[in-house]
Amino acid sequence: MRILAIDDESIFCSLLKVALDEMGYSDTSFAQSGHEALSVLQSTRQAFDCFLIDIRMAPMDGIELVRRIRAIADYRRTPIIMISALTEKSAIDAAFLAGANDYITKPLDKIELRARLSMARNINEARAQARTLQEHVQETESKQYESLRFEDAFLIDEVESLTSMTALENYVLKLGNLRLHSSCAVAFRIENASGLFARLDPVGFSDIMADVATLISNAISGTPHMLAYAGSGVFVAIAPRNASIDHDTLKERIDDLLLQLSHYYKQAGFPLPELVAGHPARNGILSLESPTRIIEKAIDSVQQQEPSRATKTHVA
Amino acid sequence: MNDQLLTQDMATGQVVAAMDRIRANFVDGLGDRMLRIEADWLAFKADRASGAAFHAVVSDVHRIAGIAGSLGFKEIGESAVALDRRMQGVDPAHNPGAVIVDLDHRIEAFLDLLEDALG
Repeated sequence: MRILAIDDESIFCSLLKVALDEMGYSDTSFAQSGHEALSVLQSTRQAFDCFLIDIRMAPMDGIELVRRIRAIADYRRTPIIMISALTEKSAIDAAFLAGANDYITKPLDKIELRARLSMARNINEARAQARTLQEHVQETESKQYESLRFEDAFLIDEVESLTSMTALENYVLKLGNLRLHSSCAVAFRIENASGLFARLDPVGFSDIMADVATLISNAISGTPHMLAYAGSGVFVAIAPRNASIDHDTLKERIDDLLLQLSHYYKQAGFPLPELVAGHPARNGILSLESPTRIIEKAIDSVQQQEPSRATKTHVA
Repeated sequence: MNDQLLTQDMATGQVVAAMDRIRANFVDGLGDRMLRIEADWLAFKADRASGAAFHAVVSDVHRIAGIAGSLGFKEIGESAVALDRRMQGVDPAHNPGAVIVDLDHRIEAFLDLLEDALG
């Protein structure tokens, strides 16, 4: 795995180099500013597989650097791990919203770094699988890609606001229940997802999931949020707790957006996804349950919801 | 088997030696960092409008917060993190004198701690 680490403190770069070498990651490069990192990316032929980025740097901070890296087509999905002494929720939020996949707090804990890098490797493997899927279908358009299962939380590359389930879980784990108190999770379910999966080829199914992800992002636009596909036609969004995610209003917005989409689907001969929104889920501030329970609660809520009458009418 | 253990020992020895070098490098540079913090803090106190001097102190403290703990200087790391957090919440342009007095004490205590590390 080729790693580019960016930190303006040269001693920390040396320390990171020793730790990475010790873990067997010897293909590493270092930059001491955002601008230097971007020029390394421009001049390097072989792409990097993972970035380790400090947040507080000048003149370009790590958050801006993440945005710039994500704007480069080749690096839209490359794992980015923030390594920072900042522990404030605002810093963690900004990093994940900019597109980071993970967040490690300084001082450097080698066990944690090893685990996070291993996760980054898994993300890369999932991306490689997604690429294989695309290449495979380009070669044999109609052939089913057997390894993609309905329940897989596969990455949907086309939607910019969408992150991976792993990044979403990392985010809530990093916040912990205390700071997660100011957030809520809302899940969305496609009622007829299994039917769509059975009827369409994997790329067709993935395209519909991308449409739905865009639709959900539009429905909750105006509220900063992180959205991920959880597999089985289910999406999960994390948003501020005090955001105006009223369940009934959300249902109305989704129905309106589905109505707009229905025309195109009818023309293409695709069945319209029947989208259902769950109620916002929250974790107790002093709860002993895992922070990731907020995601499970949101999914539980959406599993109990019936599709709205409007959606059923559109589908019919 | 013995060769494998020997290789592992050598690798561990190299890591330890590398860490010792980085630690020594940090301690060598500590005097300069202390002088910088002290000079910037004095510059800020002399001219409260000098936000750049205040932010330079925050930047140096933040850098120490990021590396000291990782190099085994636990107390310095924790103090730097606490001071960094305290300073983050301060707007240098609008602060009452009591805040500056409080920060003055904290920075002095922090510099004393760094001085102890120099031996």
